[in-house]
Amino acid sequence: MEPDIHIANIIGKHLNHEASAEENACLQEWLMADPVNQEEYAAYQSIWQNSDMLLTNKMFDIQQAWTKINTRIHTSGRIFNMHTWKKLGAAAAVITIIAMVAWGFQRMYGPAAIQHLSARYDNQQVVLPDGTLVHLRKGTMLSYPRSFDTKERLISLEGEGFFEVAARAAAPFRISTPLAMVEVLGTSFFVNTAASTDKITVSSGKVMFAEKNNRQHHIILSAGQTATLSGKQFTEGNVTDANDQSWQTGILEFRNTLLQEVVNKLSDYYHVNIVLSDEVKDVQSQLRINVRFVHQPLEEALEEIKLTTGLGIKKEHQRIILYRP
Amino acid sequence: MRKNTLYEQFHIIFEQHYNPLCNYALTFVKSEQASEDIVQEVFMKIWENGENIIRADGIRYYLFTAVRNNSLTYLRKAGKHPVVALTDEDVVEEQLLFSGEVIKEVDYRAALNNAISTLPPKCRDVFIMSRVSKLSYQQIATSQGISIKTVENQIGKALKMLRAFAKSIHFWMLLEIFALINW
Repeated sequence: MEPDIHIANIIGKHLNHEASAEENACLQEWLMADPVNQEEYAAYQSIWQNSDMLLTNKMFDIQQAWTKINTRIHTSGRIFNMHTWKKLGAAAAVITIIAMVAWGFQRMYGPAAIQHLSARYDNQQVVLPDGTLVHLRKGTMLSYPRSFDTKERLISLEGEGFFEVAARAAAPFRISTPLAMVEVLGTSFFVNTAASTDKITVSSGKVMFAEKNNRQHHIILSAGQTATLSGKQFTEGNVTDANDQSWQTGILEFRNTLLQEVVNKLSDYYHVNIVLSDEVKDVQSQLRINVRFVHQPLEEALEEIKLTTGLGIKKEHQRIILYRP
Repeated sequence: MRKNTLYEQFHIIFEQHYNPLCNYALTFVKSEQASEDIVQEVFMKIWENGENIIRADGIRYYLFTAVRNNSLTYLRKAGKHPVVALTDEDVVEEQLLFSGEVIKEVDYRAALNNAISTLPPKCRDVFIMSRVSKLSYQQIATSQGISIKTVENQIGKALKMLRAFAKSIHFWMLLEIFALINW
């Protein structure tokens, strides 16, 4: 069935998360009227998402552009007009971060030569002095020297990062985390440090994963493998869930996945607490989800879940609850 | 939590928006160098304007509007014709451009890209701004000086035309498969 322009307008508004309750009801009715309409809707959704990616797929050199802007800003003199208290605030914060993370390798480089940063948004990219590219998850703290030692490239990380390490055989690349020491023997991998466990996922190359205080105790991981270190115990496995890297790729994909699992992933990705009401829990084994989110805001993702399951969504005490209306 | 300094805030805004803004300018001026120049000038402007703009909630609206205006000015200076002014009356259904056209590209994305560039100019302007900037219909309407109803209609129209286009690709791909089988 060919949707008329009216439905196309509503789909547009819905995809932009601007449809009124009335329009959403109208869309729902249209979707339920004929399975063909659901396919039609999926085609619209695909056009919408693909257009996004197509129209922003060219990568410009942000680093170089920032250098240019930064030079112009500093020669225009404005930066020096900053209030004194702001400067003091900035200095205090830097000191706090130094105190928290740099203990490990300050001896090696000296405090002045270390760069500290805390990622302010997901997938913040940092290029290290050797050309290694690091993608950081929001809140992750990274410390590294302004120039690397010739014998070793040592950095420290708390949080979650994806590393594409520049090849340099003479100087091994090592990451110090609160629990472990990770040594890179080849190219790209994820590191996730949580309170009591460290997790490494290797995309390509080889990585040595060692207990921090006993480096003899280590394992070697290759592409497609993942391991966690908890206490003194390593647990190895193969990578099965691409959604683990969603904070970096921005893509969440569910194929015939149980609703509970979808809800867990969404909670983690959007940093919210989504739960199923008891009566939904009882039947959730019958609710399997097929959906793909590409850089979608939470509200849109929830709206999709709502449309495909027929469940209702309400917010209560910082929790988002899926219930049967 | 500590409030970011103005400089840090500015840097964050820059990191988050530089790439999409350059891509947006590129859809008008078709030159990477010119796109980057336009976007960098806009950032210098907001730095010079300082606190009020940098800390404002509507910073994204401001950035995309400024990049669009400056891109149009650039085209005007270069003697090229930008998008014609869009009025509210201009929402008459235009005939679908794509029906019956033979499409050879099998790559869906390449074809879609092509289809977006062949949308009627006004329709394309609204659709591209919406997809790249993620602004609300109301913000797009204000930015382009049109009514919110026009934004709604133009986006609906764009979607419908692109959908018709996607169907025609599918159709031609099927035809080719049949041709192979018969052969």
